[in-house]
Amino acid sequence: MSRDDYCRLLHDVLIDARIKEIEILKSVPPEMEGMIRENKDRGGVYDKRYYPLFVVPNEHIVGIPKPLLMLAFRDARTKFYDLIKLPTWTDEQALEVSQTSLVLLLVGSENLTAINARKRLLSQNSTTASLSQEFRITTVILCSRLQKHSKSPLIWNYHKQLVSGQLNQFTKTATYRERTKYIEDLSKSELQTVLVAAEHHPMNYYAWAFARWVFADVYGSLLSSPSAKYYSVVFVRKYYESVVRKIEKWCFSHPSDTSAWSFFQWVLFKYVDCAHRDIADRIDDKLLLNKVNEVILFATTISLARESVWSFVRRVVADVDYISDSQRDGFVRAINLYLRSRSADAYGTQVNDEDMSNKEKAKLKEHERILDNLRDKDVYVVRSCLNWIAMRTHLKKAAV
Amino acid sequence: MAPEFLREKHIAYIQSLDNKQDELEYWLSEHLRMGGVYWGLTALDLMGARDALPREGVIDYVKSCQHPNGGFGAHPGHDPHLLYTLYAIQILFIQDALDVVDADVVARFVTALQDPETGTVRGDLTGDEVDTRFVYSAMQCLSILGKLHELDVAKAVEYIDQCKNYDGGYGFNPGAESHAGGIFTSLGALAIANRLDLVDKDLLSWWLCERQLPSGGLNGRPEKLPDVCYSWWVLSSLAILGRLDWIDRQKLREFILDAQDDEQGGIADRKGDMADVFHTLFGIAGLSLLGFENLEPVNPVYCLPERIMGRLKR
Repeated sequence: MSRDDYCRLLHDVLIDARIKEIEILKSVPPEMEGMIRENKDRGGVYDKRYYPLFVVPNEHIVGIPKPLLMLAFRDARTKFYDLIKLPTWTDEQALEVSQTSLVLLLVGSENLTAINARKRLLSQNSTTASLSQEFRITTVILCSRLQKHSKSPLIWNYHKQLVSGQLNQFTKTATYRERTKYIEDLSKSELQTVLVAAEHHPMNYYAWAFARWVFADVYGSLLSSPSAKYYSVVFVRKYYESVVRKIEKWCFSHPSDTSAWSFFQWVLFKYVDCAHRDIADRIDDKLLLNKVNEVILFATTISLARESVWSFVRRVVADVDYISDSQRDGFVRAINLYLRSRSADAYGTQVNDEDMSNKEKAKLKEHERILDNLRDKDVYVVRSCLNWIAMRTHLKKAAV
Repeated sequence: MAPEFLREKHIAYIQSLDNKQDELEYWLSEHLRMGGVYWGLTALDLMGARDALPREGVIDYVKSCQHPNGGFGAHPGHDPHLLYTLYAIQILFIQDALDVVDADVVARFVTALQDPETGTVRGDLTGDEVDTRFVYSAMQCLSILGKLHELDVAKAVEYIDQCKNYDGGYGFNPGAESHAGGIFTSLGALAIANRLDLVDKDLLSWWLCERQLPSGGLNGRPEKLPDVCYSWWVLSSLAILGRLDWIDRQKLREFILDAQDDEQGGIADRKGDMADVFHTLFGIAGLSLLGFENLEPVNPVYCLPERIMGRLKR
């Protein structure tokens, strides 16, 4: 196979609507080589159509061996930078630009010139590129286990432009009802994209920033459009509530993800804002207080010493616009109680059981040591949280 | 006892980066090259070794990246962008060669990126990506060219202020998570605009000094790993706020020095990882701010040698 063909192959894989995820393999693991030879005729892991890439058929994941990508890159590079000098492209040239720019993008997530070329294809060569195809490609890249790509501001922003573009295109001919349904579905699917990208790349700043845009600008537009009076506030509140619960669950299973907790706080406040049009009613919202209680329970039972979790707690509890003094005092009292119980050595275990072997005793001692470190850190993190809450509420009140 | 600062090795490392043109690796980062030159040159200057890179060669390279619309690309043939335009101007400023460009043309490219209604700044004309990095880049670039007044600074400042969060920090957009990089760019922009009065200095400094971990290194957000580049963004932010003493300087110094590659030279994001020119600059700039290793003083707002700041047209 020539390097030319690798380029074409990678391109065809990425635009294949069935593919959900790609992964770049360091090399071909020796075990796989044997398996491939075996399965070759049975078409198992090794799909002849995409030889020599590895396709996991039912999961629609494609594995790209890195050496192959590098070979394609060498060839794509020279072709691409020559082609972009031309003011217009024939259909054939447009296809080559599409193929080579994708390879360049796979290799360098912040390749501005490659992304710009794809934007040019969209506006100048509509037979080669389409909004929906680009949207699919960026979704696959963002949802793949590619360390740099799933957090790339350039790609997230390009993806955002494509979402906007598709929305505008749809809205031109749609009825109000159709548009509403489209936006609801879009919000759901884009949140899913964010969660997958966030799963692959923890503390994914630009993924969660994109999520904020989806809710505030895209979904939020349903409330701010002239026909908004037809869009029930109750409905929106229900939807935000469902998102709040979904994100809370995600946070509990990814407790160290500071970006997720930050988004959780943001969407929780957004819920409160839309649930109470009157600003005066926003203080001490029931759902908000419930969530704070749940998170404090989580932080004081299951999760130890997670700065991200306590960052959420302090951020919300210290907000004088959303939580009254009496509620805040209640939370602070509960956290203080927890601290006191921690310091009271309630978890000491006796390591003097005569029946335990020396090895077992050593293991237990080591386990205790790790736990002690964590507990110390926990006490430190919780104390810092309380200090910050006191400092922040004092600052806010002093400013007013 | 902190390890030694390997000045000669770092100089050799930076020089070697340009000699790898036959290697695939060189081409893999082609789209970031202008940044690489700025990072390398500034690091050399702070070590008092600016001449380790050929002055004429660097200037010619920068010129070859300029487009008719005034913007600069990352490498010849690459599309223009505000970030690479800033790097280009910074490089020429260090080399005292700003006269090789038409300041008006460059300024026009930059100011065209600002939205007159919102004061926000885009990275380039093909996208609508708006970010405080771009506000900062626009302001620094124009300030070096002596054309800051051609930007709507007041509106830009308003936008930065909208990015301020309840914890005193700044995100890259309004409502976004506080991030050390976002904080640095916001503070830098506010400092250039002379509007640091808008900052909650103590509150923000509290957040910033929480970035220091037991290892002495600084991270960019809660629970992230310490990274040498944050030694710059957090440290320079504290310097701008006049609170450098809020962190343990000795421990940070040890962290940075531990991240040096004692064979090839250069500095990595943390001990044991591979060095790169990006972390080399920010490690050295951090050490300079801390006052160690006999380095040239660095300006915390511009991340340029303090020595050349006198040439700035106010």
